[in-house]
Amino acid sequence: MQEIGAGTAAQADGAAADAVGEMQPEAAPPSPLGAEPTAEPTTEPTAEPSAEATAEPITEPAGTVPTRTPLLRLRELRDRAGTVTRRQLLLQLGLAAPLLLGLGLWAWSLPTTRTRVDDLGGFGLAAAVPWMFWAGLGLVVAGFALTLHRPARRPLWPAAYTVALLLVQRATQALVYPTPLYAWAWKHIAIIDRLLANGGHLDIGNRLGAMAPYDQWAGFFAGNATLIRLVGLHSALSYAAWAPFVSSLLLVPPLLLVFQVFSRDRRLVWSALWIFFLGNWVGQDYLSPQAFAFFLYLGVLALVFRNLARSVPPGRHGEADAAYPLGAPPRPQLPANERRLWLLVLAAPIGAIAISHQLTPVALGVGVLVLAVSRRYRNPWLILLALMIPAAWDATSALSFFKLQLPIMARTFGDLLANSQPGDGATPTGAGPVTVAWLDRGLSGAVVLLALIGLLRHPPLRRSALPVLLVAAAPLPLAVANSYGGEMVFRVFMFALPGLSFFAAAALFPRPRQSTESTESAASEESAASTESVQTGSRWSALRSGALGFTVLALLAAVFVPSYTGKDRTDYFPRGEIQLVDQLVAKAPPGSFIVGADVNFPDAYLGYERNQYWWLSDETGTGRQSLLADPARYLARNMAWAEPAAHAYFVVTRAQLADVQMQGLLPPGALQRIEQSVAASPSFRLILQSPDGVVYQYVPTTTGVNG
Amino acid sequence: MSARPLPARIALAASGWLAMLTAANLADAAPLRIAVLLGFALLCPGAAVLGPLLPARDGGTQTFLLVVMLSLSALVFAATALMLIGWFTAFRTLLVLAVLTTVTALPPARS
Repeated sequence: MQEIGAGTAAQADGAAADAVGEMQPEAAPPSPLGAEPTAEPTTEPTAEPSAEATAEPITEPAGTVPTRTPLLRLRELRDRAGTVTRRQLLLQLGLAAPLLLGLGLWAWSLPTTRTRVDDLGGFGLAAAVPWMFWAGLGLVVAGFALTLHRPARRPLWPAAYTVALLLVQRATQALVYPTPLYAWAWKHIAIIDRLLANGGHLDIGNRLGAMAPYDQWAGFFAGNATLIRLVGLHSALSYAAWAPFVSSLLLVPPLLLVFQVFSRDRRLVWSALWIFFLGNWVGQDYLSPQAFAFFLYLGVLALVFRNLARSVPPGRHGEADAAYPLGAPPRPQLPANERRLWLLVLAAPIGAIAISHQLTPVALGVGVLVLAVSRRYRNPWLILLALMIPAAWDATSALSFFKLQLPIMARTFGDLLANSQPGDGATPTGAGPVTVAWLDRGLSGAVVLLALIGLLRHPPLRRSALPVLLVAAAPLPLAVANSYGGEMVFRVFMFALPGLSFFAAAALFPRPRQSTESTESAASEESAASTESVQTGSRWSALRSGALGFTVLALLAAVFVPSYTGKDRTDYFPRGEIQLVDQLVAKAPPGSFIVGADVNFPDAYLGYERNQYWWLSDETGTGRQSLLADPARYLARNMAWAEPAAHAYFVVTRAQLADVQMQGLLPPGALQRIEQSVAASPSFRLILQSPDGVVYQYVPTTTGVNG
Repeated sequence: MSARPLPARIALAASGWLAMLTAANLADAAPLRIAVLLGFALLCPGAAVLGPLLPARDGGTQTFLLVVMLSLSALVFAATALMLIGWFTAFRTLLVLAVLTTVTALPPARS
């Protein structure tokens, strides 16, 4: 083996390094981890040494005696190929083991978790999963960290680990709960059901009240209704539980493309992707128009960043920034006719966003507008498209909405304090909800803090990746403009998250030495001793960096679980609860008035086009005082208008009770007192009862309204 | 990118009509029906539209993203437009997508 040629030896060394776990950079030779640069930076993956590569021509080093026969050389080649293959196999096994073990442990945890979901506490699913779940998640994170710190050449392993992460994060609920989570998802299913039942008749006026906007921005629901009919399903219920996993998986390509525009370092790119998924606890990935529109929004941004860059003269730091190992050179400007075609292509997804969701077109419009700060992405035609297409929709199909809502929006515009207050979860009550609230806000804070560190740590990245920073900051003014039902602060965080994740990932890597030591290439005459010393230091640096990356990702992954699943006690609806509500809807004739503690129950909006609703948690001021002072009398007085048909119902379910308690929507014990008052009142008659809830019907009394 | 070969263009042009045959002849929720219809709706209109418009650049990820984005956009446009004019049925939506796919698949791709 001593006669092996230089090229082959290097490959063999690489393979050996793989086998012993030496850490090297992936793509950018001037490694931020400290490995010595050996070649120019490249965006292309380096080919992994293979048996075939090892059998490439071997040159005889000077001074060796050519005493081997061709047969001997062949045998040596075969042996060497076998050795490398075994090493490669070991490497692949080393990378596959945490993945398979992690997923195995996760799968093992599912049956146990399934038996516990009917008795969730204040920490939701996070307290119900057994140790196997946590161990599996830890192994997936550890394996991913390993793939980042190998001189890996293919994105296969980080991609596989990303899918594994999404399975653990976003498919667990689909596998342990027998029904889809989130009252909002059930509402969207009800909307699709209505379109399926009425032959796709949209009502773009305001007759449907609070549900009218779903017809005015109907793209997502129309698409779902079509697919359900075409494949022969009965309802979106068949697949709604899997929406979080699928919608998250769809985000992988656009996020990768965005991050790759601004970094040639694949460790940074994949870390940013992971931080996005670990930080995205806000739960907007369920079956919803916003999840669909967010995919298109990121897709549009990815295509803009990659194809609509303009050539601008490099600034004072331009060349150095382009060569920064963690950064990337600016995208080249495409010919004018091709740019025009890209704009034409982009009009389609921008239009699809505009007809599917209210808020996302605003975020996109603001994003491309703010992007104009960067000369490289200053594109008036793109701005025109992003603003005019949604405006055209708003001025036609959604005009009724704006006629009704504009005065209200104008009143609340600029009310920073009111608009930036979160809605649900604003006053969590009890040890579990309070802790979960601290954890989810802490998770958001940690991502923001990491992003700030990344910004400070890498000035060249700050300049070259300015566009992604601008897009992250662009939605912030939306928090001032409108409360969006108390959700604006969460939505703004979600739109900012891709940019935050990119810089948060940069925080995990030290500033590459090459960028600060401009003359290192001239230092080729260093003594062997000093080189060895540097390499030893590099290894320590690489170890430190790897350990830091693993620790941060593991902490984020651990905090993500309670942040994302901590409210499952309110979001999960057992079959008994669904049956109770469906029986009520079946009993209720058209024109019924349905009253509930709050909207958090399944099928709340089933048949919403023919019913009206009142949620007690919306009561404020004197209304709330009257409700709490004499609940049955207050309810009866406000339900009496349904006479003489008397089709008015008061429903209280398990999930409503959990929601009211955990979110502090009513004072402690208030809902129980309300229900007792109603039960004792002659104005109400119990018509349905199960362990998961009760339904009372309002009964007009001969003496009029009484309590 | 070299121009898409004629057999591939013909296959793409026929995909919508194959999807219609599948929807009409296979049982509700049959796995093959789900696979064919989802495959068509998520990929074919976008792939067909993309051919004459843009040369493939930057490898597979961007092309895949574009194909899915354009296909989903075509689906929601067709379905919403038909709903707004009161002509909606899933079959008519599929018909619109099949026609779009055929018309845009047949011209040679840009090179």
